[in-house]
Amino acid sequence: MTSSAGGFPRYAEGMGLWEHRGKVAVVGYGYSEIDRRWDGVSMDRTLGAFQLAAMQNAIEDAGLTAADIDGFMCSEAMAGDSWAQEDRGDPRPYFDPPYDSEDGLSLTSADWLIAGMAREGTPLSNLQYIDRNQLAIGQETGKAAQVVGDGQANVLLMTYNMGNVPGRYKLEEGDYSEGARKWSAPWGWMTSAMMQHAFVFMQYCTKYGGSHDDLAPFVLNQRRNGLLTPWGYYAQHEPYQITLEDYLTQRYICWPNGLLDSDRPVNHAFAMIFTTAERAKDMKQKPIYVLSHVQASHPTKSTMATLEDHEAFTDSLARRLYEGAGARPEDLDIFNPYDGFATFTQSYLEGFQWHGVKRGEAFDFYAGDIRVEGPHPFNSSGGNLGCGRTRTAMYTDSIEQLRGTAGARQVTVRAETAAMGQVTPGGNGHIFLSVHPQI
Amino acid sequence: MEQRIPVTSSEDGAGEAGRRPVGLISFDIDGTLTTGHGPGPITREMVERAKEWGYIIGSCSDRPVGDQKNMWETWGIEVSFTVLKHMLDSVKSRFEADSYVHIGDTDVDYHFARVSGFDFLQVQTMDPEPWMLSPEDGQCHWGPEGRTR
Amino acid sequence: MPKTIPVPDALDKPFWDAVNEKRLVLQFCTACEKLQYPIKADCVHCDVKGQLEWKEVEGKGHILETLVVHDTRVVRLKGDVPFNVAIISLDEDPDINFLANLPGTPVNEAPQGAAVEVVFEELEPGRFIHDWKVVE
Ligand SMILES: [Mg+2]
Ligand SMILES: [Zn+2]
Repeated sequence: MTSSAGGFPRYAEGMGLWEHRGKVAVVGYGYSEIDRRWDGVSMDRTLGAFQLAAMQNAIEDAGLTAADIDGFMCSEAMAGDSWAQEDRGDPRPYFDPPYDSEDGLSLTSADWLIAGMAREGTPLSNLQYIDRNQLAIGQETGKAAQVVGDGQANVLLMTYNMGNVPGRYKLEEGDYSEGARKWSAPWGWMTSAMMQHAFVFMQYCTKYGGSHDDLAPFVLNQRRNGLLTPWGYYAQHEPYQITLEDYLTQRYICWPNGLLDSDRPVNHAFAMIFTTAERAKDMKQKPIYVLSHVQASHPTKSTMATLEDHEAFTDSLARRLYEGAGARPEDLDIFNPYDGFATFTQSYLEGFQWHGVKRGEAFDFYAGDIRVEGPHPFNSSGGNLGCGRTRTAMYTDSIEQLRGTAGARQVTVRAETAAMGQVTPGGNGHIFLSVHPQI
Repeated sequence: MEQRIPVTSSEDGAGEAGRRPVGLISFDIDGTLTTGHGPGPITREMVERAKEWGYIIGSCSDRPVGDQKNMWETWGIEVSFTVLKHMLDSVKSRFEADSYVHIGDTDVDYHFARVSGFDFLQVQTMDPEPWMLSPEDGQCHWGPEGRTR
Repeated sequence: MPKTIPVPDALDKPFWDAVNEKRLVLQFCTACEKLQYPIKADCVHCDVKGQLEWKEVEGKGHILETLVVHDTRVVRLKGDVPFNVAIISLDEDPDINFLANLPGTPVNEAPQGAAVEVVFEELEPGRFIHDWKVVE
């Protein structure tokens, strides 16, 4: 892990307060509609079309025009899983421009998005700064805040998508394994992170007691919060609550990880606007200040990272995020840690010691009142498990809770600060937001 | 293609030439029936005809059981079973039949059919069963999305 | 379960050559005196470069945990589910861990914490791979 004094990424311990604490603000956000998969024919529901809509919605939410945007940030990497590896039937038929390649369908390049905004009469005509290479939204939000804080952009539009096209996961591997796969493939280790987290989760149960089924109240509550998120996949397309019996009888993919512990891939896009606290003062929305952001990237020391590793990683993450914000655990009101697999969320919960939860106490906490209307509204977004694998519900919810616009999900406890991020304990980015420029 | 004789349930068939063969058909939902996410090629009419012909029918899906029941209620078809995908074997122990078929669209369907002693029909490539054919023109009218592979 | 056959490269060839002789030989950093597996160009424990040697280990370990694969995206394994994937810690250095299928142990019967020993499975004539087996 390389250290960096200021700048990005923020990996190091002991960096103190973030140098731009309270000087950068989130002033707009927007999202698209959501589908389980692109259907292969509806050109108004492609990943690209969704992303343009999300960007336009964010600009409108901020009370800006496209010409006000001078910074643009996106993730050009393949959204979701690598389609090239999947057997999705015959080679994809392409269409008339702008859909004459994969661009706009299963991934979106900065050039495609910028051209799309121009095509739709909302040109980003004043861009001074373009960053197209963000890993995922956890890192991307931190980078966006840093870029605005550093003065490289004044009004930055940041966008992220997760795509899904027809077909099922299917990885064709030959009889031979090369590169990193030679140390895992021979024993049937999947490419998915599911197994890594199932392993650490079992170590957790061995160390602290409890079992897979102790995740039930958390997973059920995630779905409940998701159903209270009007744009979410389940609210839109499968609007019913799952039951305890559904959870206990679920099909296991890799024991102890079942279907209901895993997020569902969807087609969706999101956008967010960052600007300076100065500029945010007289804008349409109440500013939500960025107090801190940190990232993590930990190499695996042997074949698999262990519980001990993940606890150390998330202890460090929480310590650094709090330190950058000048905050303590009791200052954190809204907490939306990642839940791509239900098996690792407790690692963040305990690392951040949210509502006093210490190592080994997550199952007892889950068994208490974690509903949004209760005293411990954990993961009020519903996360990926409640809204589909957009990786953005934790951001929309945090902004809405701090604005007081979360509707049926609005918590009854104080909602002045929020922390959120993704992806996994070994590699992630997190951000700390507040309605005040300092704690 | 081997033509199957339409079957009736043992109650209906009793009193004629003894017991007539009873078939059981398990339907996957998503990617198999037209109500699925995404929609499959098997229509409500086909399923209803299979039932009229005396097949024991039901669904076997990764969808929660409550949602499977809701789906059948929406279709207005009373079915004999709604089970989770990995519980297909429970259908075999609950119902006595001469043939057990699971119709689905993925290798998970194939896997659980195989380990549960069911024949598997891949909905995208199967030859139409007699109950799938329209009595009007003898043709198989797949759902609006048709078959994609 | 038909294991894939690892293709050695210049860096890890000594490891696989030893496996073909039914020996487990790991990297050892003489700077920080830590064992290393999987095989990598540099020591993951310290910043010193070029101090990695080969060191034979005894091949005794314990099961940390055992997962059971019921469904997989890997096409060649779809016919073999369910199967065990255990994570083994090496007795000589518990920070070193390996994957294992625990040949001879039925799924859902792998005892957590049980002692295991390395075994070598022949994948093609003369080409072996290491796995771990519960010690009776
Ligand atoms: Mg299906
Ligand atoms: Zn070293």
